[in-house]
This record gives sequence, C-alpha cells and structure tokens, in this order.
Amino acid sequence: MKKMLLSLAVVCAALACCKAGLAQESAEVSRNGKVPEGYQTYSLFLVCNPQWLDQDKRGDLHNLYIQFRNFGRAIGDDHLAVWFWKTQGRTRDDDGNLGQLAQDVDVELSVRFCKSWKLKSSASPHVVVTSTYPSPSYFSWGLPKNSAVFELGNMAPKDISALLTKLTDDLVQTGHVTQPAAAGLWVRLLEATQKTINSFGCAWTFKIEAGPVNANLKSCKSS
Amino acid sequence: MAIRKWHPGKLIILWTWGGVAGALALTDFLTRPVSSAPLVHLLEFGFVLLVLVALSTITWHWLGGRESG
Repeated sequence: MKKMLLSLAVVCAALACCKAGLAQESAEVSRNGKVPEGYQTYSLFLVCNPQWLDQDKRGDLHNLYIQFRNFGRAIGDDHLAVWFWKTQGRTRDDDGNLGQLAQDVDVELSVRFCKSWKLKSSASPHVVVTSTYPSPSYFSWGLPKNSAVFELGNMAPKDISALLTKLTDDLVQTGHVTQPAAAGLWVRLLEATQKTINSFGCAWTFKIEAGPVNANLKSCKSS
Repeated sequence: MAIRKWHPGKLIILWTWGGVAGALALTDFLTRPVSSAPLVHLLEFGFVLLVLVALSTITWHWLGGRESG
C-alpha cells in the first residue's frame, strides 16, 4: 500500500513538473524562433500597419506591448499570447526605448500572417485568437476556421484594454473566444450619433465674469 | 390622471422631470461605447428623443392659439 502511494506521488510530481514546464502564458518569438506548442489557444498580436511604427504612434505601440504582457499573464497556463520580434532574446522593460521597440517588432512576419489571413493592414494591429497552431508553414491554408479576429487599429488604449479584459474572461471561463458579429448599420449610425454629440459637447466655452466671481468652463478634451 | 386645466407651472414640472430623465439617459448613452451594449444604447437614445418629442408636443398643444397679454 505504501509503495502504491509512493508511486502515485512520484507520478503526480512528474505530471506537475511537465505542467510547470508548459506553463508559459506569453511567448515573445524571434524571427528564427518557434511558437511553443501544446496550448488550447494562441493569441497572436500582429502589427501590420506601418503607421504604428511612426514616431507619434510609438507610445501606443509600447502600451500595446505592455497590455500583451499583462494579457499573457492573465489568460492562464492553457492559453498562449504571442508577440513577434525580429531578433532573438528580446524583451522590453516597461520603460524601454520606444524607438528601439518599434524597430524590433517583426512587422514583416506579421504582414505575412495578415496577407495569408486576409486581414486589412489599415485596421492593424490585430489580435487573432486561434486554437490551431500558428505555423508559417500553414500560411497557404488561410485563416483557420476556429479563429476570432479583433482589429485594434482604430481603438483607444482604454478600449483595447477593455477588449483584452473581455477576451481574458472568455478564455479563462470558456476556454475559447467567439468571433463577434459584424456591426450592423444601426449600430454604426448610433456610434456616429454618439461621436457627433460628443464632439459638439466639447466645442463650447462658458465664461462668467461677475465682479469678484469668475467662472470659466472650458471644452472637454477628446480622447 | 386627467388634467383639468393647464398652467405654466405644470409645464415647468413636466420639462424638469423630463429633462432630468433625458439627461441621465443621454449621459449613459454618451459615456459608454456603443459596441458594449448596442440595444441599450438604442433604447436610451430613443427614450431621449421620445421625451423631447412628447414634451414639445404637450407644450405646443397647450400654447396653441394662446397669445401673451
């Protein structure tokens, strides 16, 4: 009986070791590197839009990278977030060199993914969540059926953060992510209405000068 | 409740309550992204328009044909 329990304990310890070895929630893959295998889902962060490498977008790119790392930590051991670098062994600190970060992002490989999966560069960066192993050798197969694509190009940082939080919830709770339905005409009309009213609301200045009392209400800052 | 006689004060009360409810709905409509809950946004915007149209109609009716002085 003791021997059986001992054997069982050894097997459990071995399994735990294997699981610990696999426990890598985010992978920063170099051009010659390989995406780790054996995960339920792979969340690829693809930067195909050259505008995101410009000087004025570098802050957003850095912010996206930080959000990628946080996302990778939050989605658990069964799921992997993937970021592509040009060179090997590159990881960036939170206060890293933004110009260097933009140079080291492997846009070329991302563009190959975008081209193969027919993703619009203008809407990039993308987050593609797929349960199929993302190997460049599968490029000719196109976007796997069990994939969900999210366009971050026109989103504000807080909206990207909200989206990644939702994806984290879906991955942790259900183990998969469903592709959102395309926004209908009425949703786009509502969004346009909201945008118009918001911009109108920010276009005024209200000033009161009444002797010793002065009040100055300025227009809000649009994000 | 049937209104026996209109008075400007009643209109002011109606516009005040309608304005508060409409402002709350409009604030919620404007501060959250439409994509988070499109149907709720549609209802909120519809409510704001409905309040505006309803209060305008009531006021128009009551003021119809009246002349100041």
